[in-house]
Amino acid sequence: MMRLTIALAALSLRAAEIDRITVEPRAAAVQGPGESHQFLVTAHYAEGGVRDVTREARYAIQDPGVAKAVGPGNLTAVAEGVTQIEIQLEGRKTRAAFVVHPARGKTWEFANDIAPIFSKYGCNNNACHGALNGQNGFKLSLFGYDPAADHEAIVSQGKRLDRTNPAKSLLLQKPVFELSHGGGHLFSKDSHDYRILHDWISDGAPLGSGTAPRLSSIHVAPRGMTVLEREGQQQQLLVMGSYPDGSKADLTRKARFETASDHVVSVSSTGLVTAKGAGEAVILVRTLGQMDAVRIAVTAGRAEVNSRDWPRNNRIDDLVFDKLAKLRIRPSELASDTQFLRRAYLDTTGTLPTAEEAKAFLNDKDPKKRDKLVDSLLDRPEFAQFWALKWGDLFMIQAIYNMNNSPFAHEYFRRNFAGDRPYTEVAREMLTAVGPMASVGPNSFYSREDRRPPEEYATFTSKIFLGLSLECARCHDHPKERWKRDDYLGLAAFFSQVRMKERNGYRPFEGFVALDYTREFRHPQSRQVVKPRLLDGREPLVDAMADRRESLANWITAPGNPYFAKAAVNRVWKQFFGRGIVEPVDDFRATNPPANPALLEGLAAEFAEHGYRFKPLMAMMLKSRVYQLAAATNESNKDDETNFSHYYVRRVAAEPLADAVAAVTGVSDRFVSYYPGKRAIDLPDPGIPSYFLQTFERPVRDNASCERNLAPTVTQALHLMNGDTVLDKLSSPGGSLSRLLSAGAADDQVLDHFYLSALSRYPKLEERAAAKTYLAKQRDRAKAFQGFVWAILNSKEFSFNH
Amino acid sequence: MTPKHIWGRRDFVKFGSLGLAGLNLAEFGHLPRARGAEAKERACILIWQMGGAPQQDMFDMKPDAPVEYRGVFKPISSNVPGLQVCEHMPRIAKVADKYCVIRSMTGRTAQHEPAQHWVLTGNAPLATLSFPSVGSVVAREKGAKNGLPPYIAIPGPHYSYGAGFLGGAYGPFAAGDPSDHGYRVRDVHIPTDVNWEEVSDRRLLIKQMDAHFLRDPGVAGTSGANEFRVLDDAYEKALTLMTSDRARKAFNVFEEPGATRDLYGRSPIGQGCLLARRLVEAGARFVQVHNGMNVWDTHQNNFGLLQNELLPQFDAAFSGLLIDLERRGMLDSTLVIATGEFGRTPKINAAGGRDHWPKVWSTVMAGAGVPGGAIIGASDSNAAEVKDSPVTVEDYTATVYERLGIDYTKEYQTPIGRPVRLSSGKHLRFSHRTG
Repeated sequence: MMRLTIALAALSLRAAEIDRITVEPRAAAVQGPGESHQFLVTAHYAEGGVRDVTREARYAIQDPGVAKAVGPGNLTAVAEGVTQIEIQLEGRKTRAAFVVHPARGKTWEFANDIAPIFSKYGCNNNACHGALNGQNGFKLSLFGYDPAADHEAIVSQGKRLDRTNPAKSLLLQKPVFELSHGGGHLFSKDSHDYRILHDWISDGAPLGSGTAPRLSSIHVAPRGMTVLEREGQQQQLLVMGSYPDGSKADLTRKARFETASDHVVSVSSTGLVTAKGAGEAVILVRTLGQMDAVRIAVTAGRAEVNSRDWPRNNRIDDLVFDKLAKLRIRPSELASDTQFLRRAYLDTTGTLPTAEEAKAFLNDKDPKKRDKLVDSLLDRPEFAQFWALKWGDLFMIQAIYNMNNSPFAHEYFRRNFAGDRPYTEVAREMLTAVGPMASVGPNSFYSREDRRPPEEYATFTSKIFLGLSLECARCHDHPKERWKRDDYLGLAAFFSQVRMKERNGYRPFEGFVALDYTREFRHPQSRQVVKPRLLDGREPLVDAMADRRESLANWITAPGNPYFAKAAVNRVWKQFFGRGIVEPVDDFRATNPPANPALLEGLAAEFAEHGYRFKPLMAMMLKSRVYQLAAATNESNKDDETNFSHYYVRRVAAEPLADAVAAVTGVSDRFVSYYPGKRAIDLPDPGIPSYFLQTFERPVRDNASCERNLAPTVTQALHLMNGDTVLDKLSSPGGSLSRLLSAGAADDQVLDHFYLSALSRYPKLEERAAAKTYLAKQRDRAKAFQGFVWAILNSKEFSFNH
Repeated sequence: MTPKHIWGRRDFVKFGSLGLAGLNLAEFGHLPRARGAEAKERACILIWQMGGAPQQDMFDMKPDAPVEYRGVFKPISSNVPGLQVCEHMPRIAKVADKYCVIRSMTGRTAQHEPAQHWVLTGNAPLATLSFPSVGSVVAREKGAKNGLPPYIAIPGPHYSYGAGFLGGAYGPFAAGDPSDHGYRVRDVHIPTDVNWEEVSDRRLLIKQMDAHFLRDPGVAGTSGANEFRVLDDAYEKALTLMTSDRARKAFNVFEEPGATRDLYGRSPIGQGCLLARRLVEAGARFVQVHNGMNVWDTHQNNFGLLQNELLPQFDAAFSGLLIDLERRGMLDSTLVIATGEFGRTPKINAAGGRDHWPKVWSTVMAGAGVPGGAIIGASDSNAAEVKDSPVTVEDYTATVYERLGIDYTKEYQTPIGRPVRLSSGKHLRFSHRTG
């Protein structure tokens, strides 16, 4: 049956009628004869769907004196002039213009013409000549960040160049493997790149003026996700570069293409992608210090799906299901009431429902009961406590570094969540904080005792509020992103006025965040004053006697900020769906594209529309069908780990787990200097002693990668089985078990109670039977039931959220 | 026997010009690395001098320096002529032929946390990436043996001992403090009121619950199956520890004869080293021992603390460990290291203490083919700067990996795909001629 569907799909592709063909770009311009340009031709089918037909289309050049074809869709200029290109396929036509400008009096620019070749073939990466000591005496700067040094390395030494007989240059003999080369055979003697290097050497291998316009960005076409339906199907990529003067150039032949998913596609050095097997691949494209990425899906071998029949609750479902339909992945079934109940409680409040709450929900016949539960969860005190805990992780709040600020910070976050304050307001308050460090919540952003230099604030601001990892750019231009070191330092300069004042003698560890308007931030090497500069390149006018952080906060919280809302919704999404739309959540960059851009945009817009308040956003997520899908998978989505086609199971984290053990056993933890009953999710500081929390990897908050480590360890297993914090609770005379037994509860009542309180459900018949068989074998009833509760606490169903 | 001044990769010239005995210049530079298969079986015991031990009061004494630098301690001769150590380490002086002193360790930060992170992981701390400690890397590269956790911390993990981006499974197993009277390793014993039959009844019940859960139509076929396997694996290993006599016996320091316990000293560090030896003997790969949070951080009363507590305890523990390992034939297969995160200030402060000093400090290594009775590098006349052959923290971790048969040029990928080399340094080449 499956095979038949596939055959039909393939057949329909061939038989499908082309509605029209389009070409990109409509008009191509090159600088002088010899320059070439790639065109991309796409067929649009009558019944929907597109396909790259660049290699099948026929190209008629009206004026062969101006251009000639050198490859599929690839034209080279012959002489100055303009010509039309007629493009044809199966009776459909389109046309493009090809403009050859006068040659600029060919001057070589090493940085633009030659350096990209080393990047393209990976010569300058850290495994080859980009390594600290180079390779075999030839060293290039890592990823080509220093073209002048690279030029020097090439021209200054020995036989690397032979200007009279360029073909005898090591620089050419090695990559074509005329001479043994550790990097292997990279290109052939008839390649475009060989010719460029050859001509450059024979022209004397000049460095050039160094004033050539710097590329401002690259864009790879086709945009959006390309779907390849058959193995072997191909897609040409087109890389267009934009310059500050508005001009554009085809950089396809200069770019380097890479993919980590080589089981899905392969990509050639000319940007031709070939489908290999079902899945999704991101292709990274890099040239001249700029980057972009495109996503390709291969659906080969997957049966078509009919997404119109999939039930939907809201817009999230449309956005997720659209992508799934393209990938031909069917979402899982709806999760049961039990599954939904338990996961909604845990994900939203870090708390299990009590046996009574579980019973009430399961017995409720209202068809709207799931929505009702979501609304009530968002209003519970545990909701605010739990999210304050998460925000404490995010801002790395801990007493040791934060001058004992942690209770105030926790309380500040808790109130913000309880009152659903706009996140823009909170961000501004924290970024522009001044005053006593220990006792004012928002000042926690500045209160780290280690006296962060302005650079540190740049790191944390970009990570926390913008979802950007700029840290690499602290010391060098980011290798996988367009961020330059100057971007990073420009951001740091907004914090130059921040000063920590000690107030010794008044109160130990009390300090003060103050501003010194005259302080400037200096470049770590040149010692020049660095002017504050936003990440979009603008330098806001800052009054000398104003708080610079205000203008940064203005930009971050402005409605059009491209990062702020997305970074926030992505963090929340991860908490509910187990994985960020961008993952890791604080690594937004062109080369780490979102799994579902439309979804991310849609959520960010929703967040902004609701005044940057979290609760409406969370309600929408929790009420979506996508959130309520089962963890079980079907044939089509069993391998999906990025598109949210089923609930991704995960372990319950340290604090909710500790609380769950306390709730099930009915014996609360006692944390030093807190009243009994204080919940682990409500603790403000990771330094509050608890063997259980430490063992289950409560983060120590010393590091901005606040991802929790949920991998199980031997120590955890030992502690759950034999640890005093668990065993003492099981046998406690004041605990649930003792109370039930001494009240004369029947076996079934006890079983029901613990299944409901630990697993939010009643035991099934066979489970009841198994438990009773076990109980019957034991001599001491109390001990027997202790063993039963012990088993539940050590079961997978208990320790996972599913 | 005279001390063999051994230089790292750099100082060929000085090497020859000093003309020290026991060196063979021709051998230098192309010595065989520690032989592969053999080195791969080696284990490591790290005595972690947390807080920063004073180089000039222990292994790099400066008797000719002004008194405000040299302090009140006197050097004594060891059993290797030319190698002197502090008078309060008399036992360590008698086993100098078994260890090598690196007098030119050098770091770049004077704060505890970043410096500890640096030495324990081999990497400068980054706000955005959590590096694995050396112990975690060793655990990952060598795996578990005989059911013992590969990486064990005595008494317990300090936060920078972690597995970082490698994940909790490679983190240290906390052994507790074996100098406690009622010492038992935590949580490996079943509850006192339950017998093994009852435990297996309970285990059966869990198995039934899990089987039911995995069959549940809402869960069946979940992509979490892999995570379930990791959990099963952790429980399996936990049960092995609970049931394996060999593993549990390894933790039982009370089995040791009183004389052996006395040899190491009854201090936390002494008994910690003894436990470390037992654990390595039983199959542990990397054991880290320390005797308290920043105990070596002698900002005040440096000499009193050292003389009355720190040095006598360390003297017995370190010398006892080397003697015991050697007589059991384990020294060649065990790398023993004593180091802290930095040294201490050359000049004594107003409180009679010494403060943080990362510019130069001493690290001591023994076993695992490291030549005994040797000195690497030198500090200047006040033990303030490296004079010869600096050994960076990265060089140090490279050396540890190399001794343990681990290729430190190997790269791990972080979760965001950043390549991280195990060590960016270069290992010390322990060139020497025996005899």
